[in-house]
Amino acid sequence: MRVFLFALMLSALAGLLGLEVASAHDGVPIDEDQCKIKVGPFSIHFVGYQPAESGTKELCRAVPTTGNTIFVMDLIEPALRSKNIAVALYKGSGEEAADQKLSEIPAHVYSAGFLRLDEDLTEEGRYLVEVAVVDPATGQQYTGRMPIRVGGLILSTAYLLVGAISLLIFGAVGAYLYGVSREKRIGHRSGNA
Amino acid sequence: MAIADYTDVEARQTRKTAVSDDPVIAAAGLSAEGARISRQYDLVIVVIAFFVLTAAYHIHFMLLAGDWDFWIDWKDRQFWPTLTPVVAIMFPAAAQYFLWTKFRLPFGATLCVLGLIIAEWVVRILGFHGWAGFPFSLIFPATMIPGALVLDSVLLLTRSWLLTGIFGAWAFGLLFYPSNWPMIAGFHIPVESEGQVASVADMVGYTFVRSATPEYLRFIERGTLRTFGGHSAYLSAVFSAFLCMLVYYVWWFIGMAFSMTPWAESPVAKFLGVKPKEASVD
Amino acid sequence: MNKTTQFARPTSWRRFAAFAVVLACAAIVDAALWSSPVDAHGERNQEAFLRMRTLLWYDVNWSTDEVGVYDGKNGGELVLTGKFHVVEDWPGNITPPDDTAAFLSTGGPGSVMVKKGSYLGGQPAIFSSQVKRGRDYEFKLVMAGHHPGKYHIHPTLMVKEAGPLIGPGAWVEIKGDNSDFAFPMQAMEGTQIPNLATWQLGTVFSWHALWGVIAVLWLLWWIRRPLFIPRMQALKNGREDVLITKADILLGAVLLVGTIGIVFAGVSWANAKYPISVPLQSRIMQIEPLPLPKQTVDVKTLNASYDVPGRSLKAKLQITNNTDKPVQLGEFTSANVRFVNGSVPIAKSAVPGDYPKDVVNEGLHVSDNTPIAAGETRVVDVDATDAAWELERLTSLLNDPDNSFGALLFFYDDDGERHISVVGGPIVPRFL
Repeated sequence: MRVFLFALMLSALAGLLGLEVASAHDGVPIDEDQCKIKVGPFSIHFVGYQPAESGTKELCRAVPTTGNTIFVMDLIEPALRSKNIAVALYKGSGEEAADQKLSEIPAHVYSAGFLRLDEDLTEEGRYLVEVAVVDPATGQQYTGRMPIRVGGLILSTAYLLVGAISLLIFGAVGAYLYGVSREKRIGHRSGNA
Repeated sequence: MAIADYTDVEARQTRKTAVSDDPVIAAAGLSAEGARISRQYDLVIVVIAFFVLTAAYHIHFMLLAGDWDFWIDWKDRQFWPTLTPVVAIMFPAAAQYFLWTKFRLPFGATLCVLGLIIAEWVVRILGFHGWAGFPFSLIFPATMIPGALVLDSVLLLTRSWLLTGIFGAWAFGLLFYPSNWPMIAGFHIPVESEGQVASVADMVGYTFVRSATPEYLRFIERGTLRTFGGHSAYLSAVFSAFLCMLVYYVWWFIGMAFSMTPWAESPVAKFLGVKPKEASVD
Repeated sequence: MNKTTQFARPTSWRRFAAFAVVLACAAIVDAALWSSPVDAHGERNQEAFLRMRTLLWYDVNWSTDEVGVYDGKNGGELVLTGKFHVVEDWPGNITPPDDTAAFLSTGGPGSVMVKKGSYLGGQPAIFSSQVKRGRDYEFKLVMAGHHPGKYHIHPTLMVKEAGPLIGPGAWVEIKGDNSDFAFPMQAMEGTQIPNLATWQLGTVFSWHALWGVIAVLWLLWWIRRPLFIPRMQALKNGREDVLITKADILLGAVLLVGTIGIVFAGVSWANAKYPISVPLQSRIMQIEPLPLPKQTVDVKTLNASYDVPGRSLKAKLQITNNTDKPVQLGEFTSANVRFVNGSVPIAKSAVPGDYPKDVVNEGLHVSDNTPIAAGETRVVDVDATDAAWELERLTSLLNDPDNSFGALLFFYDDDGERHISVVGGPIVPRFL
């Protein structure tokens, strides 16, 4: 019993930590920003906007609903401003997505340090943004991908946490009351020699 | 076996164990085995008490008087000599209550202050110097040990908390600035920099840059009481001495409050269904 | 009375309940610790409206990007010069600088560089001074190397009740060995201080050691004898005579007199060695701002918006050229980011080649870029476009309690003379 409870406690804590890591980008400062695409040795900051739905709120991998969505990618390293960058949007995820290209912007040098992709996402489900960086001098190419999920249940860390804590407290109260009622039924306390 | 088994004279005699030569052991009526075990307790308790007292006292001191203690260019003639002794006498007063009234041990003040100084040096060496890279000339701590020694010896000689509060605490406040003057005197010689006069202490603070710590942040040399011919340090010392007397009494009684050992039934134990089969009464 | 207590084991369901409550508490504490925002270190952390509307830094120049560890003679210096404008439209949330204090220093990790000199308005700035809104000031910092490494060094003006206001930063490398460091100084009465970092340390360590040893000996005098249980029991038995012996009292008296004696001996020694002393100095200096320009280009902001996905600040400006030569808008600078007009050659050449690349770009565009004649008033659409708005966290403006911007505009005439104007006002986020 003790071992079981201890394992329960550890897994609960581990779960809470895991949730934190998987939390959505929500106005987090760029220094510890989780919403980045790794493209070879470079990093590109990724933001989504749905002006009609949520105004200036910054989205990452989880887009709440369908509709007009603007993806903006900011080039973090100054070196990227002299490279050719191409971006494409696919429907689906994994290997199957390769056949379902929705839109693309051919390779282009972005001296202003950011690129923008507008798309009307009509269906819920999974999408994929692929970025390709080519160094014009050496021809070296790097690719990075950002999976997007549109619609579905978005589990906010905060709600999950509140849910988990409430479950624990109700569970505690329930267990206590059960213990009391069981005592009354069997006439003595259990677990006691 | 309970403590009574060791102090019961008859029980001791029936066990045919010899009494120790030490007069205190004899006065206490301990057997040799009892003396040996109590000695082990002594050493364990001293070590634990040293760390616990040091930790609590260090936090207390840093929070209230830390700024003036950390930096050479905060050690002025008003706030530093007034604030430091008043803040520093608090834990020694409480420790003195406990150690003197229960055990007649007159080292409460020295124990606290020695622990504080050791802890401060550890932080200065590892943190301020080792980690942040500040030179020791900027960050060395002040000493309160002379005041603590006087406080302890006055308690020992007068055996009275009232007289210790009057003379000992007064001396604690008064002795602070003179006992630190030999260390800081060399930092108060004047230096000329670009047509302006500054003390060496000011220049140390200016030269070794502290992030987000502007010069105007220093809470030094402010306020009135300036008609005493520039002898602010003496005035601050006397003012501090009187404050120390007051604070000593307050903390003597705080020591009393924290030395009580009341018995109360634990509601958590009750909730968990824990009930002592037989209560132990001391 | 003598038996030790034995506690019954609690019911397993109650134990489970207790565990669950403990778990819940742990989860709450865990959540509180994890969800508290971790402040981003560095210059981007400060709110955007503060960075844009307190001080606007310009002409900042770092004389070198490499120095050695200073040893009193060698090691070189980093001379940091530049100017800043104190914005008239100072944010209402923080105290204006006019009647408080300001102190010039560097921003960066602690004591990695030492300050050899600093000047504000041409005057030495060892102590604090004051700055006035609407005026420009010149600064100079002379730094030397202390701890080897690579650091981002910014000029910073700390204003009382406003906080540190940080200028642009550049990477500076300090090479050499820490143990070579020395900072010599000469006192007014002739004493030579070989190294400010180690001055008086022999005296300090000796006095601390002396008192420490005496304190330890005093403690050992008591600790070597039975301490707690025996003394408490002896006291209860009324045997105070063995607890405090004659030897103890004698030692106490010696300690009392001796301590006071040593303290006074120390004071006499110190006064003999350093007869002249000066207390800590502190003053607020009055410094001169840069003179107001005789001729100006006046700019009025008619409206301003921020195109969120377009990373662009767009403003409609009414520009009146009150100088006697035609001018072109060459640069827009705010929060240490420089947006240069790439089609104005003088503006491009005004940026030094070694200026930090991440805060300068050619994203300034003017709808009508032709020179504005002397005396002419023109309304133009200006946009400053670059990812810097996002990367420097200036778009957090939209979360600030005061949605306004502030910036400097640099106008250049044919002879290369520059005229600086201040713009600002409310700004609205848009999706275009």
